[in-house]
Amino acid sequence: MLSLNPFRCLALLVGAFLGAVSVSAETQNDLGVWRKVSTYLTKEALIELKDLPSPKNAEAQRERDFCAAVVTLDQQPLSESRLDDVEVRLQALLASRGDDDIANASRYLMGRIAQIYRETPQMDAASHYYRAVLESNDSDEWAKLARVKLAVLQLYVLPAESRQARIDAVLALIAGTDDSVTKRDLHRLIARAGMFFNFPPELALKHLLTADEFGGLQGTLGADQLVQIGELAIDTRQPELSAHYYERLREEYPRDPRIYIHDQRQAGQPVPQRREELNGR
Amino acid sequence: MAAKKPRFNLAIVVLLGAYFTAAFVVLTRPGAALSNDGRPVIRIAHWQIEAGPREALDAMIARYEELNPDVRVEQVAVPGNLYKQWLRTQLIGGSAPDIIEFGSFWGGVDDIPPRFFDPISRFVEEPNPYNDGTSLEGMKWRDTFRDGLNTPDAYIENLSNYYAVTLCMTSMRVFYNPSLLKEISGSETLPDTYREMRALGGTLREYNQTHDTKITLYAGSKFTGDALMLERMSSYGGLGLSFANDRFREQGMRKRDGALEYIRGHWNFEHPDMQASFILMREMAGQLRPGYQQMERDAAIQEFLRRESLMILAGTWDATSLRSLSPFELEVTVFPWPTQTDGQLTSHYWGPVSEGAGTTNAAFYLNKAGQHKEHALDFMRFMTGLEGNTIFAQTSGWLPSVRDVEVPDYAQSYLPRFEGYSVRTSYMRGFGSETREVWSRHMHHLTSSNGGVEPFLEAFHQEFPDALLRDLTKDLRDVYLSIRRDLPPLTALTVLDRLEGLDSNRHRSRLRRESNQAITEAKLYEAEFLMQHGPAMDEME
Repeated sequence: MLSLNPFRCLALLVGAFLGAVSVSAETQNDLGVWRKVSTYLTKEALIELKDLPSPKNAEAQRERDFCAAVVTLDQQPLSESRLDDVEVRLQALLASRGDDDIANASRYLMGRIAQIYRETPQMDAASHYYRAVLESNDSDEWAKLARVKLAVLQLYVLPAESRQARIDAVLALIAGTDDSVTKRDLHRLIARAGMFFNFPPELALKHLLTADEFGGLQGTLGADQLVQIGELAIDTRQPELSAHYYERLREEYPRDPRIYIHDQRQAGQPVPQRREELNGR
Repeated sequence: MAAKKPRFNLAIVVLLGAYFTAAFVVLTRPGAALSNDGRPVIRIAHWQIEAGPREALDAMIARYEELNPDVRVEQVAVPGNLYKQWLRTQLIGGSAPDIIEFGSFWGGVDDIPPRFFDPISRFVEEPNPYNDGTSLEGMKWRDTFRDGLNTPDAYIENLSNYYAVTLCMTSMRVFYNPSLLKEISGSETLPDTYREMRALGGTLREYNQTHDTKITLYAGSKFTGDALMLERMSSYGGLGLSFANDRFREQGMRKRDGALEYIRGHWNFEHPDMQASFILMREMAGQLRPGYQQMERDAAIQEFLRRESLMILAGTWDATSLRSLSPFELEVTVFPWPTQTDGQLTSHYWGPVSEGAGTTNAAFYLNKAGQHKEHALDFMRFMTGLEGNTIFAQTSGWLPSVRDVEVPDYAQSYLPRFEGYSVRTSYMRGFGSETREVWSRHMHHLTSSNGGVEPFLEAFHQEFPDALLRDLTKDLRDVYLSIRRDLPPLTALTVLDRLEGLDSNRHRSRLRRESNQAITEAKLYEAEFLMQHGPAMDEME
């Protein structure tokens, strides 16, 4: 066992400090590349990446390798062989270490490559990677994203016995997370699928009301959600609930012209109607 | 051969001499790039070559230089049909002006803002010093705009930043000739209902017969014809149909939803609302001169100014040109689109129709490679300050983008009408280029004198469903590209939060984009699901 020699402690502290500074400095080098990637400056990011000095330790090298994989994914032309190359890089990162942020990010990115980059989407592979992300760490940023991506696949793409089974699969994903934004987005997805699959409007209304409790939506999505709740409330014969959400629309999005229909209803004027078939079979 | 050589050399010398003399004059004239008066020169580029904006910019520049005698500002006006190519060349060559008008609606230019323009988010969150001492003093710069800069060209969602400030607002209006109207109908005022407008068409026909004239009700060109019929008569007439199929409870079908509901078998062009709209469109086409679809917009303006038509539907961006070129006093009003009370064939026209949320236009960006960015930003503040924007509005005759800028009496009618139903489905032009092409190719079956609704639909139906599928396929391919394009930046933002520590604005913006993308992907797979299953999906357990 190590003795608590003051000189040894000091040496350890200094060593740790220098190590941290070294990693931090290395990371600083990569930040410029990440910033360029974050603003779609693909070519510039590649040039900057190539000009960076070689990392001086394994941790920094790992960061650099991950950065290089993402920058490579961002280059044109995007061929299958380039995707193979990126996947090999990500697999290597996973093989060397499977329990850190980069490992989960690699799993997530491989899921995205399989789902949206490949000429022929590989949906089973995508769902496999997303599930692996959740199994590895179900609460990091990548898990939050993977959970939502998996939900979309379960609602529309992966085989299911029935419409209800699709909804149930996403309900299970909601139960597995405490993150409010993820929960909100999953409730919104269920509401949308409920309307797409001809479920009675009560289903979509219930999930949108739950999503609304989490809040945080802005812009068009926020305005759309208020309108959707207002209209679903009309379809479920809850005019007071509808009025409440339309008044919120007026208050929060005063330039949204969709408030007009509410004013017409309030004034007892006829307004265009939805087909009754949309309210479920 | 040898004897001709000296003459050739002389010609070269003369040409070079002329070239260098011209270059010297151009480059050293006051305010030019090589001007030696020592003042920084700010250049502002735009494509608004209509009458009004150039004069307004000159007036703004004159006032700005009065306030800032150490700076010189020049405007560079480039015609719209050349502008996009010209701008890209200038940007790549590093010789682009300091302030640049730009529009994402051109398509295929999404790379330009992050590559060549500076974000101005931190500046628009601060007050505009040119508003000191005015009603807008102390207000955040972005809040001083009528739409809070809430327009896709000012705030670029994918880049999570404000990039531009806007100069004006626009709308579509009908400009008419009151004296000619009085001569024909006995009234100087244009009807304010569509029922009366149709009656006016009848009166005009009689007038033409009795006076042996060929005056049209509407000035005709492809632009005005499309604006009247394709963009409005059909879309407004289909508003009820759009609401009927409002599956996602957003007050009408959006573009792709409309295509999917068609594939699902929930609407088609045989629907009575569409049939009635076609009859009205055919009627309307009879009020434009024959061959209007082959005419450019300028031809319609000429027709109107020559008193060969009673009115023209035009954007308010043409208002100053029309006023300055017109040999007669003209009047402007909102076109009386059909409503349910306008009699035969109009019972499905829900009205009034909203002209939108009143967003502002003409977005100006700050060139990242500009030599005098501080001065350029300062001029952007001035032109969108209360005084600068007032000068712009008063001189150009265009609507201002800035709050509290007085709208002249004559321009009050240009202000977009907010109240009314939102039209979200464009049946004729909205689904994509393939279906649009089918419309264009078969439109003459509907509008020609020996055509009609039936021959049109017969020809149209043979091609529309396949064209719709091609449009949808292309649309989905674009969605895939867009999602792919966003993955590396979104990944980078997540990594930056880990490496740099959480930046709350960046984090919030990323989450917003991720939430948007979740719905975008849901819509993508809804479309693929429907393309696979078709109407049978409504029978699924």
